[in-house]
Amino acid sequence: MSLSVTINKDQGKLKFLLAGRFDFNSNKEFRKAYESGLNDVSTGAITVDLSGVDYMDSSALGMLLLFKERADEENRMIKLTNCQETVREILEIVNFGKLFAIQ
Amino acid sequence: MNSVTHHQRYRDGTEKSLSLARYVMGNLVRDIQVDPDLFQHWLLPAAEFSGDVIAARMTAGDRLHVILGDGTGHGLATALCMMPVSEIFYAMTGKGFPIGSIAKELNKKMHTLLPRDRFIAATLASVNPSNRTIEIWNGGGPTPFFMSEDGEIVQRWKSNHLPIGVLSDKDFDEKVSYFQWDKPGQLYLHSDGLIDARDESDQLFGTSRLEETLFHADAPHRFQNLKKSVMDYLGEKEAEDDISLIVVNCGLGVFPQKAIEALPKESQNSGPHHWRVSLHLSEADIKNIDVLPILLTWLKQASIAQRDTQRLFLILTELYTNAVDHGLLGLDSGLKSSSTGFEGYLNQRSQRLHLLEEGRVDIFMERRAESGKDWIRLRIEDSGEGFDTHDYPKRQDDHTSVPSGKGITLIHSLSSRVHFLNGGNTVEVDYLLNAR
Repeated sequence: MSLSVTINKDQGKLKFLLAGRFDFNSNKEFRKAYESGLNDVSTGAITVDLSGVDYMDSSALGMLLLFKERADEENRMIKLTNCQETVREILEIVNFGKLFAIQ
Repeated sequence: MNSVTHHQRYRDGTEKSLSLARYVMGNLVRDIQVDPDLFQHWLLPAAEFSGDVIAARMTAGDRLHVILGDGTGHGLATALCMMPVSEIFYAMTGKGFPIGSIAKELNKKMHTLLPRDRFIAATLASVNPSNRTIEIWNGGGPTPFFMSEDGEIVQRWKSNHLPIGVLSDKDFDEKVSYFQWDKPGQLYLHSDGLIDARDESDQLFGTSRLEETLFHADAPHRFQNLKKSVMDYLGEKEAEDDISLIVVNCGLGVFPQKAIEALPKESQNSGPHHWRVSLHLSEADIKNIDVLPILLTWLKQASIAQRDTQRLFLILTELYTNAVDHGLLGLDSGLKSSSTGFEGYLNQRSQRLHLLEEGRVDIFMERRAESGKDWIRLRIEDSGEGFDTHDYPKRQDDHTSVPSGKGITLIHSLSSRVHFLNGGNTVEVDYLLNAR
């Protein structure tokens, strides 16, 4: 299953719900989503809910880095939440806990 | 017609670019000139060009430095991104830098060169067969491990850094982990392509299969066995990701004389030379400067044969380490064989070094001719408390069974004269050049 991204803007809080395979094919989808989300809600921490993601490759990690760079420009923090076991392991190996809040 | 010619021209152009790429990359893949009894490696690229990099070289101080790097993606684009990695690794290893500094430099270069979404998962290792220690820096690589000859995994090094190229230089952490082996065994490094290899039913090879395959083979056959097992597992399928593997044999032999003897013994000595070098280091310099690479660079520039350069560098490394560790920091070598072992020793070393408020080390090197022979005199002086030099031979005997005693024994075996002066604060060594 390719990646689907749902944008949620409850009470001025920006949240992305990701589901499916997060890999090099998701580049366009993911980037489009975060750009439009950032334009709509312009302040505060951003949550990326990864509960629906069952696979993630190194290009997905690269996309998270690009997203972080974009969020840093606006001094906004990114939280990665509800990771499945396999995804959490990948984030742990690359020590992304030093860059993102992982919950 | 026209479009066919166009298409043909485009194809010719692509073919030309590819053959240029093949030529350049081919030149980059150097022969790894390390004793195969010590080091073995395997690299199976998923495409024509590999996104994994393996490099290995002996240092002048007779350690083995290795790197296994895995760039985001695979194929030509990734191979292109990986080009500077082995160049930087070889250049800095040649200059005598430790792996933490090499990782830092790699990160600095790659952070500048690569687009933000590309990075390199890499593990660097430094293996010192003479004191049986391993240093590891692991940024985003799969967990390397040490398996004893009887098949027990004695140590694992989980990745504790971000991959190379992600952080800016100022945020980079060059801290390495240490381990000292007391049973002979092997150090294993691999890329995730190995554990993520899939068979025809799309099942992963996996970490447990990797460890079981190694466990069920005799140590000398483990490398070949694992390689065969992965190939059989893939069957007719092509690998989807680059697969790479490094094995370093870690025995109990005291010193790999072979590695030194294998080097060319050319003498670049021409005409009379006479020079003096002296370096004065304050506490701030001792904390911040990698002084050993500077000394090595000097020796290399000074037309001294490679064999002598290596031995002098070994002696200088021992003398300088002794001056700092025991002279200034007052560390007790006995700590290395205590329960916290080598790691405890090094932790205490870095703590004390951090807290050091006052101290100096003076290094003096001189080349001179005397009775038709060429000599190098080394003198190292520290501002510490010294020790009772009358006790010295006794101390040496006491310590021959522990790693710390080996340093001084080594200096004795390589030089013509070792002399302690000035209440143990100064040590002077005379070394005969071009001795056979």
